[in-house]
Amino acid sequence: MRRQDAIVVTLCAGMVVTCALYVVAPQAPIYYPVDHAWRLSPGPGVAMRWYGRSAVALGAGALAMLVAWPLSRRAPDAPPPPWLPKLAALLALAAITLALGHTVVHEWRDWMPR
Amino acid sequence: MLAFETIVRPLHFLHLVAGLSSVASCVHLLTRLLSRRHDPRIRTHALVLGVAYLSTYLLGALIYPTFRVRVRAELLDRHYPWATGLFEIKEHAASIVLIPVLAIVVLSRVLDPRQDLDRRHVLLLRALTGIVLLVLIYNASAGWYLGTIRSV
Repeated sequence: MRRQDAIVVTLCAGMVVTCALYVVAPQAPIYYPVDHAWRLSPGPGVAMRWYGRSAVALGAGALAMLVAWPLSRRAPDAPPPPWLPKLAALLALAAITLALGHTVVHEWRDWMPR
Repeated sequence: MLAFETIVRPLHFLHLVAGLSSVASCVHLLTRLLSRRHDPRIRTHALVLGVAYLSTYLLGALIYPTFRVRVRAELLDRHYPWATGLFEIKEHAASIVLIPVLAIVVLSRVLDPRQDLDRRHVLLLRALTGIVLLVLIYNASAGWYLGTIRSV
């Protein structure tokens, strides 16, 4: 695969995995700013989940890119089928749009007056 | 005392400057990408966007503990829950578009739109820049509006 195509596929893999993990939101460390403490389980006091959630999603995205890069570079040097970079790009754009939409709907439900 | 609370105001000012730079560079970048002529300044605008966005993101992360306790917990969550909603959308959107910003910087450096094989990826670059610009405009507007309620 050409270097440019491999870069597109790698970046798209990172974006899709980051967005998926952001929506799924697996258990992540929670920061308690008043206590200057990190805990895995929810406890009393002001809590901040954003650091842990972002770190897990971005870390998984970085891992996906680390896996996708050598795999796509190992593919034959001929141009990839035209649908592959298109599919990767479509998946990435759909994942970003869905993750942003999910965030808006979720926060709207939680915080907007009924 | 909360983390970085003693220097939160200068950090907040730098966060504002970096955020405005992100919006400005993203507008320039999208304008150049939509132009029919290939413009070598695309790489510069993308690099400025990357540096400004990463700075905004990291500075925001440093300010956040003070904002969470002194502004959100003490005022917004109790009296203006809708403002908390606006803020939550802003912070999550900022994380979601972090890798797309990295992608914009990398793609702008490796793609050559004059080559046929690269031209098909330019649409992805344009779409990512458009999405990032929408998020930046929302984040700048929400950040400014929340500051009119109470700042750090």
